[in-house]
Amino acid sequence: MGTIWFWLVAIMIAMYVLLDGFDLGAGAIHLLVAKTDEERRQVLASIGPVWDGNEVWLIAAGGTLYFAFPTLYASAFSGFYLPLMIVLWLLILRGASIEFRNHIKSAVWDPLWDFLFCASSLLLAFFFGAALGNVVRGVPLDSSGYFFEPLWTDFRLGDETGILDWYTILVGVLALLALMMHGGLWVHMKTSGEVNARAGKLAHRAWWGVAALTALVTAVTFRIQPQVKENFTTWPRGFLFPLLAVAGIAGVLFELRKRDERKAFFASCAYLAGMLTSVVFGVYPLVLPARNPVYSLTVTTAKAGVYGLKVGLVWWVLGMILAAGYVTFVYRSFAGKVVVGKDSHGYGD
Amino acid sequence: MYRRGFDVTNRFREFALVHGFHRRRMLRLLMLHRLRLHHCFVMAGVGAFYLLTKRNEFYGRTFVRAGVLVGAVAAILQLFPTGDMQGKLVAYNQQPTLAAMEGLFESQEGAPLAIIGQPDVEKRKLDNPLEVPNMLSFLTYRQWRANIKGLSDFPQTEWPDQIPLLYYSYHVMVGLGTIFIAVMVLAALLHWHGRLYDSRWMLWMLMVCVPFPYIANTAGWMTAELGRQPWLIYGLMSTASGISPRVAAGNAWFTLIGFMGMYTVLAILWLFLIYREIELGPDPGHRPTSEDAIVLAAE
Repeated sequence: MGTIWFWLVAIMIAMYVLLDGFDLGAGAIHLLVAKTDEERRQVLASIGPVWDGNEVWLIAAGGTLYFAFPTLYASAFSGFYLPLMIVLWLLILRGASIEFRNHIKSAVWDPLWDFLFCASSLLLAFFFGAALGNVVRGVPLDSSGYFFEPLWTDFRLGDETGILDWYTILVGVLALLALMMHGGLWVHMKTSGEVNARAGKLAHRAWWGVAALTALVTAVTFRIQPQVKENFTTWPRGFLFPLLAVAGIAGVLFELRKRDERKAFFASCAYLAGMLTSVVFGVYPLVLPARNPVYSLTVTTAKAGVYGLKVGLVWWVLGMILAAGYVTFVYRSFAGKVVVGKDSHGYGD
Repeated sequence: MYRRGFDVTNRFREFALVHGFHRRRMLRLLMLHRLRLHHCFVMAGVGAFYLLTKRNEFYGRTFVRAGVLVGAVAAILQLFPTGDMQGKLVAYNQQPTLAAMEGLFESQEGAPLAIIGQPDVEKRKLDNPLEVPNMLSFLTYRQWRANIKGLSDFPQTEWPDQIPLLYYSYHVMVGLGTIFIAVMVLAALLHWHGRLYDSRWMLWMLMVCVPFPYIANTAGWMTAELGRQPWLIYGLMSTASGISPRVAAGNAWFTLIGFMGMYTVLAILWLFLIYREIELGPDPGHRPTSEDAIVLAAE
């Protein structure tokens, strides 16, 4: 039962990265691909109806974590106290930028929000990557099951690690580039004209960075987290996950060259899903590895009572059916390229 | 001018105008006020402001009418069944909380309902009380002489640790809630008699009332959180055992100040935007430009 929930949480986080990933990415490239007011409204309109719904996947994943692995939740949420609060501020700032921007047309109003939107999206993408890096690298848990990480210490992989060290920064940069590519492909698919061309070009350029860093981070990860190597040698079938990632990243380049915007975006989805499932498969059965492996939290030590998990499974399935229906409905309703009139407020009207 | 009665074509035109052509601006106003009674008071308040300043009077009347009619229903529903149910939940599950909220120190048969009064926790009594006899017993158990446990019946470790603050936030919430019902019902009655738009004192009242639902809401939130102490999950997990053991107080201060700063900035921007929306009015011929922002900022 614990393993099932381990994968369910993983699926929810993957959904979050796939969905909110593209609107974070769209934000991160906002200033690069859109220069005029009309172009910027195109980018905003492409994510307008969906970005807040996408963010709910993060809340849902957090809630599921709380439900299924309470020990992990207590430990991780107090240990990652500072970065979580900063992420929260960035999410607030980003939401406010999107909502406030179109209320006033002025030379000092919308550029401010455009900048904040871009900066907060950029930092969020980076921070989420660094967070994943922390989980893979392991945190300074002790026998009490708690830890606290400052934002940074000496940037080395010692015993007293901070949120940021050379490894997590590397993963953060990879995440940022990957989401810029992902977001670029989304904007490429959803827009037309100049924005479309710039986004495609940008995704194409980001691709090289993503490919190079993926190789580098994978190599480093195998050295840093011994569990990953162990899992892949014990169950070689797990190589299907990295294979999906490789196929995805190759597919992005292939489809970009063929100018198939939709398929390129979906290939990028496959790449992200492949990367995340590889990590999840690699660290199993650890839910939060410790720097000292003795204190690692595993599926068995962190999971909630079996009865609760069983009942929860029923509700999870029902909830997911609703969510899947809603997501399908929304994306179908807003399918196709966005059209932004000269005088339109961007989205919804 | 507005006439009472069934002028169907006029009504239809109003409806079409408000719901069709200006849905966007209406929606935006509504979106910023998601909560029911807040909606109504803001709608009615903005409408009253337009009527009192004699502009956008067409919309002013529509806003006042919508706000008052829905608001009267919402205000009453808040008392019964929702408020009543919530009160009973507290009475049955969190008995010390109920006693502290009501400022009831000694157990009594036929406990009174304190309207005002200042709790003196050290002497265990309510100073300068103004009370309705037997009312608390009736509201809680539907029996005039039912026994209600006072704080003295519980060990002091079970008491909420901020009794005066809890008492006042609860009374602010309930007091304002009562005023809301009075204002809204009175306004609805005036509307029924066709005199609402000419009653300047009532329009003033509606306009002045706009901030109060926000205060009542915050006070209610405080009541719930303070009342739950010293428990995080009532009777199961204490607040003290819920803290993050490794998060230093300095780090908590950092985030607290950060949140305060963030919310202050957002609140200022929000007030600015709301003021601007109201000032611009719902006139469809007028589009906001940068000049407006400058003019408004200079005013």
